[in-house]
Amino acid sequence: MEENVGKRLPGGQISNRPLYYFFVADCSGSMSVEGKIETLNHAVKDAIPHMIEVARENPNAQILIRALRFSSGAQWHINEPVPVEEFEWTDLSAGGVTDMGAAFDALAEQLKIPPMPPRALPPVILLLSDGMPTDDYGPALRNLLKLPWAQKAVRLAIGIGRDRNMEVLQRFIDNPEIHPFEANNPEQLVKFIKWATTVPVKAASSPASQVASAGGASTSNVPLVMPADTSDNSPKVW
Amino acid sequence: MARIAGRSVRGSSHVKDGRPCQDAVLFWPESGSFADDDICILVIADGHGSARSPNSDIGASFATEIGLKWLKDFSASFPDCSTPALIRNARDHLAHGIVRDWSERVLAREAGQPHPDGDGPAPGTAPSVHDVLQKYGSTLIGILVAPKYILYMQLGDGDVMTYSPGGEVIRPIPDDDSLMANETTSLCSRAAWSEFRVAVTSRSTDLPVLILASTDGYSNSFTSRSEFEKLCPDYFAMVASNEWETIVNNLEAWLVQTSEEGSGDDISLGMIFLPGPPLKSIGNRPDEKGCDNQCC
Repeated sequence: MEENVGKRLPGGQISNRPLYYFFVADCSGSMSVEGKIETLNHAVKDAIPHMIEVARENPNAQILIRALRFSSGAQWHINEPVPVEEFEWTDLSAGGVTDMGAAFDALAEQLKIPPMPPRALPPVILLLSDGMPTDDYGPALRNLLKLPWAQKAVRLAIGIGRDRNMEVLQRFIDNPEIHPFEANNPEQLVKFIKWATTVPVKAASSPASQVASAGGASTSNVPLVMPADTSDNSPKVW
Repeated sequence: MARIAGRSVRGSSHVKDGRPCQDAVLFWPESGSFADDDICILVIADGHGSARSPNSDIGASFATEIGLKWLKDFSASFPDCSTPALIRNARDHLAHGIVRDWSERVLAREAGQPHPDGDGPAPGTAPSVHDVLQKYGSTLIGILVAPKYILYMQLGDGDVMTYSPGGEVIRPIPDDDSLMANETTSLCSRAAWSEFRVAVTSRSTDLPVLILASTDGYSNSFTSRSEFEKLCPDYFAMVASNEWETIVNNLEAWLVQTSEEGSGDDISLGMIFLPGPPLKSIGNRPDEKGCDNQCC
């Protein structure tokens, strides 16, 4: 070993790889009923320390969090990507309709390259909704799923309460091996959000390569073992 | 004197998880030194490392051995052809030959392995050839510096950069934009030979002073493509200051540190230094002779 070790390494700036985590939350008026939005806020806050732990265990991934809310239109709740270690959740409030298509449009804008860097790890997108879209979400979803980073993302969804539309959530996931979670009470919502913010993040942090499928894959190449039971058999509070 | 060197290091995430280094690199001549008008060959492979490719470290090793052999044969068979003919022969013969030999070697190894179920798979449950090949999946980059041309070939992800005497960083092989999020084409892909990207430059007109080839663990460790490309002037500055041995002696430590602070992935880097002036004009002109093959 010669004395050059310890000096500046050849090349430019080195860093771990960014891993973007997107919360996409339904904030329509129905989410204000029976404490759903309060539970969602609590569950995300509860999940953050676990995400930080995952980040510590995977130092070669820099977990960056963003959050998008949709009701009457869609707005970025966390506009700039925030490192998970610095992340503080600001409570969402509910009111308005369910413009899920507007959320897909807003998400698509941020999954283009740029602003997404080509060297990023596969992003994770968690869609939470308790109802049926009120806008024409189909074209927006199709456009979203055409984007390479949307295709390579780990797309997850949690349907909340009795009025959720699982078909729409499954269309968003667009992967027959992954099904939306069905949360019918606060405990289930907390449990599913904890899972969705840790296990997929850990899986996406792994740099193992996968063989590209012929014609390009429309689904993520992140290996993900779903929990045995994604549906809710516990008491139906919602 | 021209120089060649290469090194693979185990990624920091592989160390943490107990996975082996799944990259491989070979170069020729093994001495690392060669005359300006002699040939040199660099081959680099990156085993996939996913759950479906548990033997990809072996697959990468096979890839470099077979790639080196085929590039040696290619240089002997095609000492001097036009660029289009070289590209055509690389695609038609070299890529086919590498994929065929790699597949045969993988299948021969698998045939010699004891079956985990004892007597062998139950009827109808034997894995497909594709599944077997995928267990060994690997990328491959090969560079042949012949007296009159330089051949670059690439299957899958990774980076090839050249540094011109004027200080320009050039990517001789076009990017494959479909390769992202650790998804890659591979020697185990169906019709893998057709996925090779090939480029040829004439040493009479496009003589780089430095050629770098690396697996994606290196480029993924930098904040951007432009930061990664700063490797070219940095390494060249050392080479030009007669610090080749410093590079060779420190390369392993640099790559390990880069993996720790960057991608966490295995990293391989191969480097060719070509100090000589451009050789006499050859190559692309259709009126020239010099190749006895039916390629030109």
